[in-house]
This record gives sequence, C-alpha cells and structure tokens, in this order.
Amino acid sequence: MKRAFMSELAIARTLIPSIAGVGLFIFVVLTLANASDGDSGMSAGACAVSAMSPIIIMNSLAGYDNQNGWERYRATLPFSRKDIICARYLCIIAFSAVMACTAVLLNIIALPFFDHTGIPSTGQTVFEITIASAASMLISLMMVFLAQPLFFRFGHMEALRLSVGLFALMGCGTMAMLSSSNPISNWLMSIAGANPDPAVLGCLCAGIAALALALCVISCAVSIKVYRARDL
Amino acid sequence: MQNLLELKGVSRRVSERFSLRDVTLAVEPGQIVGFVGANGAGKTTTIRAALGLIKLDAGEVRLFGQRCGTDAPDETQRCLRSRVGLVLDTCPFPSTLKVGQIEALVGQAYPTWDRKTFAGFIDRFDLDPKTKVKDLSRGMGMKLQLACALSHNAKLLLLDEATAGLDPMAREELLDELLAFVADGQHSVLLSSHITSDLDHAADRVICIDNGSIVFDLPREDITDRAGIAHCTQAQAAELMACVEGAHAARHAYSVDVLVPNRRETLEAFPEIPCDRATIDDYLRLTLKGASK
Repeated sequence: MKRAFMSELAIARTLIPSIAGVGLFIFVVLTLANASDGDSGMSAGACAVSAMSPIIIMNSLAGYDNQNGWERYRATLPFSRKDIICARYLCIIAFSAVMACTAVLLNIIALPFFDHTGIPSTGQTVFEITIASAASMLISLMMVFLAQPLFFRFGHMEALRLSVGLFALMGCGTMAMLSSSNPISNWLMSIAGANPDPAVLGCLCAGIAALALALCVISCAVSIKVYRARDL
Repeated sequence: MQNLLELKGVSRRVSERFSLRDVTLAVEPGQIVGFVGANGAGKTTTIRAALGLIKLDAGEVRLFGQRCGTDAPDETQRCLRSRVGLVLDTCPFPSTLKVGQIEALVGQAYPTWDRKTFAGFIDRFDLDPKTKVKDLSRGMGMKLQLACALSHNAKLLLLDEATAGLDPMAREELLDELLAFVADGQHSVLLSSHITSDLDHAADRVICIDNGSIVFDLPREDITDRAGIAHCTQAQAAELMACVEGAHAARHAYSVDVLVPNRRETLEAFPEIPCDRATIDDYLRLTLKGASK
C-alpha cells in the first residue's frame, strides 16, 4: 500500500502549485471580505480553503485516472486494487489535512493585520479558527467519502454528474436542517453560536471527526468492492 | 522449463457481439510470440485477461506457473505483476506530467526498480526529461513505456500493438530491443500486432486470433519456411485443393492463390505450379479469408 500511496503522491505533488494558487486567492478574498464580521468572519478564508481542498483533490486525481488510460495501466502495476483504493483515500486525507493546516497557519499569521477590526489575536481566536477549519475540512471530506465510490464505479465524467446531483441533494438537506424552525439548528446555535465553550466546540469537532472516520471506512470498503468487480 | 504465461480455455463474454472463446496459449522462456489478428479480433481483451484486468467466465490464467486473475490474493498479484512489463499502443501516462516525473509515478510501484537502468534508457532513447507526455510523438511515447517496462527486471514483456503507427526505423529499433531482451533464454515477449512483417524475422511462434477464438498457433518457421503460396489457374487450384490437406484458396481476377502447408511437397507433386514462400501476412489473410476444402 505504501508503494501505491507514493505513486499517488507523485501525481498529487504536481497539483500543489495550481491548487495552492487557487486556495491562496480564495483565502485572501474571503478573509478580506469577511474580517469585519468579527472572529467568525475572520476564519472564513481558512474554512473555505479547508472545505474546498478535499473536493478539488478528489476531482483532480479522478481526472488523472482518465488521462490516456492511466487507470488501466496502473491496474497492471504491482498494486492490488485494494492498494489503489486505500492509497487514493489516504492521499485525499493527507492533502486535505496539509491544505487545512496551511490555511489555519496563514490565518494565524494574518490575525495581527486585522487588529483594527477588533479581532483579538488570542488563544481563543486561534482555537476557534482551528476548530472551524477542521470542521469544514471534515464535513467536506464526508461529502467526498460519499461521492468517491461513484468515481471508482462509473469513472470521472459520469461520477462528476452524479456527484453534483448528490451534493445538491445534500445542500438542500443541510439548508432544511439549519433553518431557524428546525430544533437541530436551534440546538447547534445554542452550543456553538456566539461565544461558544471551547470544550463544547472540541467535542463537536471530535464528533464530526468520528463520523467522518466511520464514513471513510464504509466508503473505502464500498469502493474496494465496486472496483474489484469492475473490468479495466 | 516452466511457461512464463499460460492461458487455458479462457472464455469471457464481453458484449452481445463479441466473446473470448476457449483461448489457450502459452509463452515459453526465451521466445518472442507474435499475437496476430484483425482489429477487434480479441488481442487486447486476451492481454487484459492475461493481466487479470477482466473477470473470466471460464478458464484460467497462469503467470510464472501461478494462478493469476482478478480473484488472486493481493500478495500474489503484486508479486506476479512486478515481473511483467507492459507496452501499449498509446502512451498511458497522464498527459500533463513530464518525462522526468514518470519515474516517480511508475518506479515507486516496483521493488526491483533500477534508477540507473531507467536513466540509461532515457538517455539512449534521447528522451528529454522536461518534455510533457502530451508533447511526445508516438514513437517517443512507446520508447518511454519501453524504458519503464525494462527498468524493473521484468521476465515477461507484453506489447499490445506497440508497433502500430511507428515509422520503420522506430519499429526496427524496438524489435532489436526485444531480440536483446530474450537473448538469454530466460525472458519472453508476447507481441500483439496486426503489422505482421514485424514478426517475419523476430517471432519464434505466431498465434492468430479471430473473432475471439485462436485460429492457429504455429512455430514461425512453419509459416515462413514451410508453408507456401501457389499461384494457380482455376483448374490447378481445384486440383490442388482436392489433393492438399489444409489448403486455403483466395480467388483473384485472373488467378487463384492457394496456401499450402508444405511448399516443397507441393512443388514436388505439382512442379508446373509456381509456389513462393508465404509471409505471415499471406498465411493470416488466406487462413482467415480463404476458402478451404
């Protein structure tokens, strides 16, 4: 599996300049645009970068699979199909984590520049930015884990169409869940809204991480099953 | 000695119109085996079956004496595939990567990867490490694949239409590499091609597939040295077809070409009929399209 991961990293490395460029642009724009909204707005840039990275890397790697029949050739290399799938999941997680960490670091570095907006450069602010970015990345990763088996079953283009539908459905579900009349939304706002308790935020993030991990394991198992059944 | 590749009774229904049917073939050590057939005859599907890329309805594939298929254990698949090199008709590496980056992509996969050997091939084949895969010509793409296939101490090379679209010099260069590869008698090559002239001098055996079934599997000498093409009149062809077992005839406007399995015997029995040596192309054409008795 290590060899498959290293091979996957060889492709991921080539994506770093373009994804980092887009990420930096989004980070700067969103941070500048939202910094005046207080510390929750200050983390918008880092959250956006953390949330977009898993989806971008999933799509980019799937795009490479389709180039020149690389997917079929890769299947003839000394990797089992399980190696290929596990390496892909690991690569997405590692890349997303690196991007999220970088975004948080950038946000922390940028904090002193926004002193005039009244955002304090305290440990609490840093903690909130970190938790918000981690939660954004984990939620985005969960979406990726839901979509990833489609990519291994149907290939890039077909799966892209299907996953857009899936994400739209999930977006509708999330909006319904977070509407003010929904008790879940009210509960979330009561524990993680204004001035949240760091312990509660930590628990919430750990809960999301546990959920993401469970989804990752299930998604990976499904992907292995569908990929093994597929003719290449 | 143990066969490096063996397919026994492999069958697989691919679509409504095409199936592999009871494909049996073997590649012995030290051999270059030509795998010929028309476009869509089943060459690539057979190679996919040999590499365990498709599930089989029946039959089995053995690589280096061990069962290899989609259901083989992961460790077996890794071990067997590390001893196989593959060259496809088109360069299969992601087009936006550079030649220099391909080593990180492919070399990581092989425990036996030799960086010096790869660098040597890149240098010898005049490949620029800074060139992107999409900018490589067909011949250069083939050379890059060949460099990858020969840099991890592969025992068996599978070439799927690798010579298609190459100029004669590049084809000759490739064939020279293949002859050097099998020279020690331990390595083998399965070369799928519909350019049969490549095989006239290089191949030890020729296997022909048509419509998913093996039509013939012969030592190359049986085709290029033993078999012949008799150029007959209609009457001579009728007589020849009646007397010679395994003859195939193809009619032209003013003559009939008859493929005979033994040119010398035919010349002795029918000295008045001119009989030339057959090429693999002739043999293939007359076997597949010619009328038999």
